[in-house]
Amino acid sequence: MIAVPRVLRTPDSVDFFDYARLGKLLLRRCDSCGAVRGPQERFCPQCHAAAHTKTHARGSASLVSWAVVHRSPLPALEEQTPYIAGIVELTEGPWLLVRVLTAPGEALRAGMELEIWIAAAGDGEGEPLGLAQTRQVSRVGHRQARSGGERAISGCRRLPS
Amino acid sequence: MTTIVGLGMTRFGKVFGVSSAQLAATAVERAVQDAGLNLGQLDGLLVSSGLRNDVTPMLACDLGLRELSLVASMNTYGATANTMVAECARAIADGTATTIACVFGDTPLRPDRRAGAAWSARDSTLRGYHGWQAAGGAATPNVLYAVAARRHMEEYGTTTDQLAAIAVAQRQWALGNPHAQMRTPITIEDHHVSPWIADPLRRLDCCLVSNGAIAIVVTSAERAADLAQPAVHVWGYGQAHRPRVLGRDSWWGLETAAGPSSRQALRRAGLTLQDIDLVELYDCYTYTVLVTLEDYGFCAKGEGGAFVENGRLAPGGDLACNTGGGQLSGYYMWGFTPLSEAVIQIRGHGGDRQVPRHDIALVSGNGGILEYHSTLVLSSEAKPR
Repeated sequence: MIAVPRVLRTPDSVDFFDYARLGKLLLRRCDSCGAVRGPQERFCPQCHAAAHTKTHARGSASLVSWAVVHRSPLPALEEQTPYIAGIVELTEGPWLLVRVLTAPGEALRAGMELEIWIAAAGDGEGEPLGLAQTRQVSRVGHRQARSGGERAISGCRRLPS
Repeated sequence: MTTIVGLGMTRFGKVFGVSSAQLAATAVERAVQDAGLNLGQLDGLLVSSGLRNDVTPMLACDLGLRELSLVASMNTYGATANTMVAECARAIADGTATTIACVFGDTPLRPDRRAGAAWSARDSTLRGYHGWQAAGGAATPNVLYAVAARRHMEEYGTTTDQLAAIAVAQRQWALGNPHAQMRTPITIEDHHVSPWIADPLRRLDCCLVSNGAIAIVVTSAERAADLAQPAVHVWGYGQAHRPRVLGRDSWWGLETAAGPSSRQALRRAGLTLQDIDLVELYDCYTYTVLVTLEDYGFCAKGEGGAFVENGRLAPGGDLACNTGGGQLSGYYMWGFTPLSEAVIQIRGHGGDRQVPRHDIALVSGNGGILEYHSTLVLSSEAKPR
């Protein structure tokens, strides 16, 4: 089971969390130049225009880099250490900072293909978390099968493509 | 022409029972005395706060300063010390102020908790999209710098032993620094058994956490001539910033804005890297030193790992670097750590750790997660007109 720190929505993240509750990861496509940017970016990093159309990630990504966290900065994740957190590049282009799940004994390398999942908290409270996992995890499950933390993920859903 | 004429430092580390503002006031008082001035001669005050965010322009009241023509709180994160000196250069050149104190003070350490807790996030503070990303577990500089270092390792083959070489070299320098918090020698093997914080970074790759304060006094070269200490002249300054770009083709983690920042500073100074006697580099992590050396051009991109091997940065090595132990082994006062050590070395006051050639120093500041950068070129000689 994976612990889920509680995250509170803010006025500027309402659309992002509305998408997440539908199992979708919000992205923004620039109306001016067509570049796709992350949900937090008000202005297009390519052409600086604000106008955009909402879209969502297809759920495939590649690993940019990662760390194996031994001293968790978050109390809710202390029981989970060591865990992996990293940067992944969505096929659409934007990067995500995200928890990365590996299968038992599986080694990571830059460029590795990953799948993005949205996971709801087990108690149904709070906002869902995003996860990246290797293809092997999808087949055999991830190495951190023990329970831990106060709140655990239940419904892990692959992003709809 | 701008000159650093005073340096004031408090004790560093577990300094308890005194506020950041009190420490900052002590540092300013000492810097003014060091220069051979008195507080009443200050007409400018620039303040910089660390984690506690409690050194404010109201420090002017604490110091009993009655009339000032320049007061500001500045924040370029870890790049602030050098951007303050650049601000002083402009203020002195345009006549805004003549004699300015710049000070950093912080008290993140508390007697009842471990040092790392000072930088930890609390779950209750996770809000919005940034909180959602932090909930994945990469919430702090330790993790993000580890992700940056791993990227360099994957791209260029940089090794943990190369990071260790930086930690070991700086500890050797710290042995000669009475202000340093860590004065026990370490080896590469000690690095191997140092606890993981966020793999690939071990505890010995991470900076200290310190309570304390440092101040400098800045004035014109003309005024400096009559003062108490050997003058430290500001030949050049630069800054460049690359806020984190989170998307395809981003160089985040591999290359920083240190390059354009140092080129600006060297161009103003009319110098090249070959003229530099010593470098004092912002070292929140061992990796920060490695990537800054590359971006400054001391070696090619990707070759920083090989460059720092074999004691090149250690006492007696080819490049005198972080000669007081830096923030890894000395004290963690943001950009005032490298800046204070540069002042000490240029003055020739380095004692056991004094480097033989100390006429020109290059000083870096780095803030955010390799996002904000500033550079100074300092010299013992007045700049030729």
